[in-house]
Amino acid sequence: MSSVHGETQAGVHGAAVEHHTHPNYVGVFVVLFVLTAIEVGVSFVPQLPQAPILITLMILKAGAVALYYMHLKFDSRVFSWLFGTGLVTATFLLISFLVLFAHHVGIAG
Amino acid sequence: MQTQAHIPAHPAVPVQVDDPFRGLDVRKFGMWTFLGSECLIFGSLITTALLYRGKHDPGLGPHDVLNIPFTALLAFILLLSSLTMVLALAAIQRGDRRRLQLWLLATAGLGTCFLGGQAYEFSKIVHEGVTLSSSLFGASFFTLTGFHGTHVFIGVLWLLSCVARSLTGGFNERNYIGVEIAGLYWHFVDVVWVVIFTLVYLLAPTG
Repeated sequence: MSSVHGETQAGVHGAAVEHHTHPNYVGVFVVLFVLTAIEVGVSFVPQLPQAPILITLMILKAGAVALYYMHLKFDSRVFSWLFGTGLVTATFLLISFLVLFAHHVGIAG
Repeated sequence: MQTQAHIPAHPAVPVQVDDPFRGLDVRKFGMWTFLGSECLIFGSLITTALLYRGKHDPGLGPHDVLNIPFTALLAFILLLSSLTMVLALAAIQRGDRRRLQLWLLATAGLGTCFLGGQAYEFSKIVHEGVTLSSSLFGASFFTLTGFHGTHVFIGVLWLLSCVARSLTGGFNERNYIGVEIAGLYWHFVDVVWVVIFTLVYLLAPTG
């Protein structure tokens, strides 16, 4: 992702705010668009291993939005930890429950 | 007896320069904390939707009622709205208030298109016989996607309030944190849809 410009200026409260270089936002969108098109295409080809391909593409897309549009790649690591903690916990919860209850008939009535 | 705090002769305690919390904006910190907690809420709902995807009446499951091409269009709309949102932020960082307003309105418009599309999708699915109370699949599907849609609706209102604030000179190249925080919320809603689209729409029908 190419940089467009970078600058440092005083923030509204007088503290120095460092501006990261702007990624190529349109380029990121094109990548997201292509990945989504591939996802949809893959979903119509049942011969392919759907889950690994689709989940990989999903992670790439969500990661691109978080890193470049939400600026986690350039911002403080504290924000990455805050978000990552929730994300990892939610993923753990999802996998645990799917493993525990996927074939449990009672829970679903 | 009165006690006195010890005041050192040289009170200047060296500031730890690598303190990761130093200089953080408390509003951004709060928003990221909120988004982290939102991961748990959506994680629970997505888990429930995946567990109950096969609990439905014959002929009324995900494979029968979900329209993948139409939902893919909604996914593209939301991805495009993320682009317009980040362009709005970049505009105000340059001090360009006019483009900020234009991009914010475009984002709100795309969000409204998404909501319209979701309302259309809901009406089609209900017409086919899947409702909030018809099956566990229906209950978990509508709860998840409805909760996400509610987030989009709140986001649209938030974006419009940013436009209104911008019209009164509320943002400039030195003060744009309000736009940045609204953008974080909006992008998160997009990330959630990326996950829902893959796990609930693309993968669920095969389950």
